[in-house]
Amino acid sequence: MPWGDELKTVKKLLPILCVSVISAVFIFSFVKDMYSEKTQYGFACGSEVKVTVFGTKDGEGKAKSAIDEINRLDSIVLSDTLKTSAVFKLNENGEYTDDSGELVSYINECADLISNCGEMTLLSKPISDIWNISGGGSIPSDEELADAVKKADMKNLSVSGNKITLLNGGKMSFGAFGKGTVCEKGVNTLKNSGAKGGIVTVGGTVGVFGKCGKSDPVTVGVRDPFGGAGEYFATVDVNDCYLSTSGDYEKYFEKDGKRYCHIFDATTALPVDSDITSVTVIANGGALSDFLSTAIFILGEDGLTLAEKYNAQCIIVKKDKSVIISKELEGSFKLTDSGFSVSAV
Amino acid sequence: MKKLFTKWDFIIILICLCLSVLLFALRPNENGNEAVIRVDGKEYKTVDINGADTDEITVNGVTVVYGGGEIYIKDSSCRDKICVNAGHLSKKGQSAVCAPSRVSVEIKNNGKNAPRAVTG
Ligand SMILES: [Zn+2]
Repeated sequence: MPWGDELKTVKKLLPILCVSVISAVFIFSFVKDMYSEKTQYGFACGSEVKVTVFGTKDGEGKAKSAIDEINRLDSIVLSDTLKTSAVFKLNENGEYTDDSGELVSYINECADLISNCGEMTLLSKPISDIWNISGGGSIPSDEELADAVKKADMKNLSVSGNKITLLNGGKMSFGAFGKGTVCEKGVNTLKNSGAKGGIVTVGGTVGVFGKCGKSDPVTVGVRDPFGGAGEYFATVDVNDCYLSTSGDYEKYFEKDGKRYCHIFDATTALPVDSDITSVTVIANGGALSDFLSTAIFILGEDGLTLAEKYNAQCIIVKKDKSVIISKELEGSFKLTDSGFSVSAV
Repeated sequence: MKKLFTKWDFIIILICLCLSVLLFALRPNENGNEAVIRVDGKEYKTVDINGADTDEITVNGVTVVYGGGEIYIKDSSCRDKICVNAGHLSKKGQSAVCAPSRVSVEIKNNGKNAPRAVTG
């Protein structure tokens, strides 16, 4: 009977079919896993570093190399606390010959940005030292403040070829730029490794590039300045950019009911004290977004013209929970906490 | 007429079913009442923070307390105490980091709409 023959064939094929299906599922999940996103963690610039890589083989290895590169840049070049770094040696000896030219190029990039904002300096260490916020905080005398202002003046920094010299007690700190600078380095390391997309987080500075799988565009939370670490009051959807936030809520000390934050006006050596509690900037460079968030935190809404100049967008949160966002962010910016009121400029 | 399925066919079908159930069960967990403690960037321990009793772990000079729906860094040998000042964490995605001691604590957030990063 022909029908019986067919049945026999089906019956013979059934095990083979099952085995093929199982193998296919395994191979598919194996390949999918090989190319799925991979995340690695580390530490740099006094913060946690998180690197996620998308759409590539050996994502784990690539994420690790990005973290290694971030660590190298922090510990060998930019840190002002690690004895191994060029900046530390420069501060110790008052001069440094930068054979690789790496530090000089970062100094030039940051000095260029700072020329837009006289309230910022790359020689901020004399100011942060007298306030000693990481050691619990102390309020300096008027003489100490005046002295720190003089030392922190950018005029005390001279770069000639590969030779860097500090004058009149100036001491360098990449504090306001460090996270953004190393974040950008991490992103570029991933790009060069052939990753299709990635997210690099150094403390509160976030770099996003390329195609990030199902996460595309990437949703980034904006820290709630009135909430705890990791809490956010809004989100923004982004592609290919850097986000930095400067706020008065993370590093500060309180004395007699007054809060002294870690962001200083270089012209007075005083902590910034305004109606703004945090500024988030979205820009196309890490050092740039770090610079702009700090500058706008210091300058207030006057700083918005700076953001325009660099094609950056910002989110300014005031102490009364009113929020000002750049017009370009309408659509991608979403409040997740209804306690805030938003207006666009 | 012969039986349509033999014993072996059934076994193979059963294996297929088991495997699919297994794959389904092993998919990433989306609701997190779990927190991960990382040391030097590597997962050190994942803990359930919803236990009725509180527990304590000390690693690299950092004392982490968890239970009763929260987790926090109670004490640390570091100088800046940023980690202790991060306070008690109870919401998904919240974290406390002690960079000098290279220890971090984070409440897992695998939700679909969870942001991939937080700037701040
Ligand atoms: Zn700590």
